[in-house]
Parts: sequence; structure tokens; C-alpha cells
Amino acid sequence: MELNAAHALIDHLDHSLKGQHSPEMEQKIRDDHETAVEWHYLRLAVESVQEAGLYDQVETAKQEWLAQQSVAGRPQGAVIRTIYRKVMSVAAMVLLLAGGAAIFKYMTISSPGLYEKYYSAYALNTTRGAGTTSAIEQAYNNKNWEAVLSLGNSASAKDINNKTYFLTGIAELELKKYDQAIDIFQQVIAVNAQSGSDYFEEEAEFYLAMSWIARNDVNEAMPLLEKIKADKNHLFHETVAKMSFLDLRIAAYKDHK
Amino acid sequence: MNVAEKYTDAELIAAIGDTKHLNKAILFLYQQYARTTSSFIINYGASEQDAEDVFQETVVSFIDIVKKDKYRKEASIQTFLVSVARNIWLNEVKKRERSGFRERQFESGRDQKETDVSHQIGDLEKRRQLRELVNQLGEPCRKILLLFYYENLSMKEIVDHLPYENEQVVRNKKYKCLQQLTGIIKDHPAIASQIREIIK
Repeated sequence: MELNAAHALIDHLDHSLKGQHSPEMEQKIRDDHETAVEWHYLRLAVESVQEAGLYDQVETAKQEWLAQQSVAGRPQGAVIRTIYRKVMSVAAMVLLLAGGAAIFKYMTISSPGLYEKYYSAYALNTTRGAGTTSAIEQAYNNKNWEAVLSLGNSASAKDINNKTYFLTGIAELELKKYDQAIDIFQQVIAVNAQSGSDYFEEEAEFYLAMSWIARNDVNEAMPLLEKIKADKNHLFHETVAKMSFLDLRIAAYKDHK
Repeated sequence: MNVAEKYTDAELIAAIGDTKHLNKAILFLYQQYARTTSSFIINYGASEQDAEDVFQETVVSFIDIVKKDKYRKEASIQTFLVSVARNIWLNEVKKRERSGFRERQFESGRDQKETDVSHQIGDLEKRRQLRELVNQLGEPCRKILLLFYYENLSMKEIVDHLPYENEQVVRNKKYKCLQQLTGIIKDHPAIASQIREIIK
């Protein structure tokens, strides 16, 4: 490409980035293959620069944070958590002083107890349309959790999707392998976040929250539960709306006492 | 000590979208989430250095997702960051396993085609490759392109930052630098095709 034409294309790119478009140049890009190819590389170059710039900016912030770490000795997050614990301690003291009923409540509430109270098995056919039943779905419906895990873990790349992940996560949960279940449900959410999909998103959110409760970490479950409670269209809104958030908060405190 | 602003999730998302507040938002991400996320990744076999690198990639990815308006506010930012970090780390682990496999293949005398390698690199590697292309530029070119295309400075403002005589000199230099960068990208067609997929 001639120098003048190349410069004109760069000028067009710069103007485009500011929202100023040239219909003539856009037509030329559409009509002329060489120009279109060059245009593609120019855009790619700019996107590379922007990626490098963002990385540099994050690197600078990271270095500042590392410097703060060496000065402070303790991360800000830990300080916040300490404050949070103190607040929770005060809240717990108030609860204890509230009377015998409150004391009884406090003594009897636990994460495992709440998990048993609020957990309901996921019924595959009630929330997703009927179709050809796969081997993993059959195993799931038969509550053959080991088989679900085996099929999920041995699935080929083309068969792995959020449904496979999700059913495998439920199997882990049913087998009381809570950490593994958490990993899998987070994976479903992450895959959706990166793909822009919401396939099995709401199911994963609810059972991720239940998994956190099951492993005595209600604090991690609370943001999810609050989100579901606030979203009246969420698949598990009714279920979560019936939960006692006071009980959950007490359990959260006890988990971290 | 420069203490970052305190943000709610919604405020943090807004801050990331505002160039003026991005630095404070990034610092807050580090202060608030780096430890928790790194601990999570270390539990998956990462070294502390790996975890530091993964969290940095996580922050870059998160900002990119927010800026492209793809963040859908599921759960909390912490849960989201942990999920992204986990994904990045698992991809890195897979890449390293494949790399070991390729090394064994290479040692046994099999040919390696560049295109094959590029098809096997994971997202983390793609981002590294992307940045390395820019890093192949000399510092003057890298600087001028970053000021113009990332900092969004005008030619006049760049003249104030760099030792060039006037705006026309800067403009000519920028032409050359951008064409130099496209030349570097053209020399790596496999990388270019991979990059198109992740930055479209």
C-alpha cells in the first residue's frame, strides 16, 4: 500500500475512534481487499496497544499495592475483615442479651442445620424441557451420583457444557464433596460470564450458595442469597424468600467465630 | 500511604468505566480481593508468583469485561473474580501440560509447526503474546502509541510529554510506529488469528 494511502487509512482509524466516520473510506474498505486487510491489521495493532496499556496500568497499581503491603504488613482486606468480625461480635452480643429465646435460637442454629432445612434436591425434568435423555441425565434421574461423576469427568470436549458441569456439581454436593461442588458451580458461572450466556446460571447460583452453607461458610453464600432474594424473576426466588436471613446471619457468625 | 476509595460493587463498576477513577478502582481491587483470590488459586497448586500473575490477568480481564459491558453482576465481584481467576489458572495449567507434551515431542525429533503451537496456546498466553507484540517496539514508539491510543492524549498534549518539536513531527512518528506494529503482527499470522478471537 502506498504511503499516502496508508496514512489516510490511519487518519480514518483515528477519526473512527473518536466517532467521526468517513463514508468514502468505509466504502473503500468494503470494496478494496488490500485496504480491508490493512484496516484489519491497524485495528488489531490499536487493540494490542490498548491491551498493553491496561496491563501497564494494572501493573502500576499492583506495585503500589505491594509497596503498601510491605509498609503495612497486613492487607487492607484483613483489616476490613477484622472490623467486620468486631461488628459481628457486637451484633452477637446484642443477640445474646436479647433474652432466653434468642439464646436458644443462637445455640440451636448451625450451618449444617440450615443446609438440611433449606436444601432441596434438583429435579432435572421440572426446570428444563424434555428431549433426548443423555446417559448422564439418566444416571442423575436414578440418583446414581458416582455414575454422574464418572460420566461428567469422562465427557469429551464437545459434550461438556454447563448442564454437564451443573449435574456433576449436584452429584458432588449429594456425595457431600462440598469443595468440589463449589468449584464446579463457580465454573458454570465463570463460563457464562465469559461467553455471555446464562445456561444453568440461576441453578448454579442457588446450589453454589447451598454448597457454601454446607461447608460451614455462610458468609460466602450471603451475597448470592441476597441477590436471588432481590430478583423476583430468579428461578429460586421463592425458595430463598422463605429462608430466615436472621438465622443465616447467626450461622455466618458462628462459622467464623 | 495511598488508601484506595471504598466502593460498593456498583460504585466499583462505575469507577472502572470512568478513566479518571480507574487507577483507584484497580488499587481497590488489589486491596480488597488480591489476598482472597490468590489464596484460592494457591489451593489449586499455584505458586505465590503464579497467583500474583493470575490475579493481575484476572484484573485485566475483569476491567475488559466491565468496559465491554459484559459484566452481568452475578453474585458478587469477589465470587466473579475468583471464578475468572480459577478459569485463567486452569487454562494456564492445561497450557503448561501441553507445553510439556510438545517439549517431549520436540525432543523426540518431531517437527513443530508454528500454527499448531498457536492453536494450543491458552487465553493467558494469547494475552501475553498480544502485549509482547507491543513490547517488540522500541520505547519511543511504544510510548507514543500508548499516549495516543490508550491515554487518549491529543498530538498537542503528546508534544508536551515527549521530546518532539511539534505536532507534525509527532504525527509522522506515530504513522511510522503504527505501521511498524502492524508489520510485527503480520509476521505472526497465527497469533493474529488467535488475537482476533479474543479481542473481537
